[in-house]
Amino acid sequence: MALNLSDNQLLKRYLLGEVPRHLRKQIEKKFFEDDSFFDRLLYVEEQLMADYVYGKLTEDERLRFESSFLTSPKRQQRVEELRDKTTASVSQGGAEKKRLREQKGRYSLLERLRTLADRFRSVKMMQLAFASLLIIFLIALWMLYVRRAADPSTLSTEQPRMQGSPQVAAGSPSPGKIDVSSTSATPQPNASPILTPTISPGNVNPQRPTRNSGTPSSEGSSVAVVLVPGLLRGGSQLPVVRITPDTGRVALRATLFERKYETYGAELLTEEGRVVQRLPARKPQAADSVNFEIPSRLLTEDFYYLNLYGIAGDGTKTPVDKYPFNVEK
Amino acid sequence: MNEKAFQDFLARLHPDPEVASEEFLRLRLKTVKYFEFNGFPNADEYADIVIDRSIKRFSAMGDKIKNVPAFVHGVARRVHLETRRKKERERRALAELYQDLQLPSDSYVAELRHFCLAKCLAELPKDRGEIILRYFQSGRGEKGEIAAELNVTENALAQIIFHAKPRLKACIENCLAKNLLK
Repeated sequence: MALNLSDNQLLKRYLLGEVPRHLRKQIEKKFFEDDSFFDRLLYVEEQLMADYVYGKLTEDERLRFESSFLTSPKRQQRVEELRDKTTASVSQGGAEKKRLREQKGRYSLLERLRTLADRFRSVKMMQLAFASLLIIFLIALWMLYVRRAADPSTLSTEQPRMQGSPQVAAGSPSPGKIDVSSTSATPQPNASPILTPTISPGNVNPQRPTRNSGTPSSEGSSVAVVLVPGLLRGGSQLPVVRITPDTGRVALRATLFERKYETYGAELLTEEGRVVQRLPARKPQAADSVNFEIPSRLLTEDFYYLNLYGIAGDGTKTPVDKYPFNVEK
Repeated sequence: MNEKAFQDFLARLHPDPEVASEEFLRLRLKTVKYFEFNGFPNADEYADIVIDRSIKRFSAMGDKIKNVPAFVHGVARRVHLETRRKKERERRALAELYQDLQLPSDSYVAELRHFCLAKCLAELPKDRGEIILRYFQSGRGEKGEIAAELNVTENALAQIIFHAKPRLKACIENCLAKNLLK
């Protein structure tokens, strides 16, 4: 049987000086002429050194390794380097194993905590979502109720009826988009008093049902404006009512910071204090506002005040606040 | 080794100079490994001797060399054999000298005896140690050549050896005793 020179065991014996001379000659000739064979021999050499360092050689192999292999300072140095590397990796591996064990312990604890947090979070989120939906539903119900309550046919107290006056919704006076002239905020039930958006006529639905007949108003479009108290003339955030020739009525929604009275009355005054119109008492259509309507023909391009007062049960009138606004035509 | 011979050798390894350089380095590594696998402590030095001799012979033989790695292997084997024979001769000479000095051989291991001999020969003045070693390594006819190199007669050479021996013996005895106690 022909000897397989590429056998790693044979090469190992060659490196340990255990092969006869004629085989040594064949191996040496082959590794000079064959690069892949030479690479294999280098690999076996490295393996032999590693086996020596790791104590995997037999006693006889170890003796031969030390006597015939470790003959040069270079080889001795390589074995020492390998031994140092092995020692370092063992200690590092031990430290690494310890670190991994600790990390695993922490990780498992962390993982458990995380799972618990996820569960809790998901339950919490569900609860939060449910609560949010409930709140939204209740708000919708309340708004619906308020809207119905604002319908004049449902009011029990005396309310002067304005002919052809368009109904102003309890919520937003316009079903459409609201243009903001002075600020960027949209009207909200609890809007900041600083924010006073105005509503362009084009956004108002002219088909609103009237208080009296339920038929659409014949006096053209309406303009609505949200008023807030406490602003002085010359302030940058003064609400502006823009009236066009088609504008029939102007709806003034006075924001209430505290709904103290069952009904409110108002007077429309010029800047000089002249009373333009005394507006009839009304119940607030929303929790934070009360609406009044005036014919646009009463208004000129000027500065006005809506002087709001509350009406007690015994008919006592108490001033609440003043609501300034400008009119532009 | 001259530059032209080296360049011719590289060109023979591969037409591409870059590849030829890699082939040369790989061939040198194989030569180093050859001497390492054969137990030579200073394999790099012997590898340089082989490469140098290979390039010189290549420049002389040129086209007759068909397989350059096989050729270098042959040169490496020759250097290996020469060195082994020289070391064998040296070992025999030291053994003969040790016996000539009438030093005890049974009490000490061969490596210790060899070590102390080499150490004490090196410590002898005026290169006496080298002369003695060559004297004991040489055959009968070669003693005349050594005497001629020193510009002395063969009898005078024998006298030099005779007068150096006592000092050499004392040195070796001290060395053996000192190292045995360690």
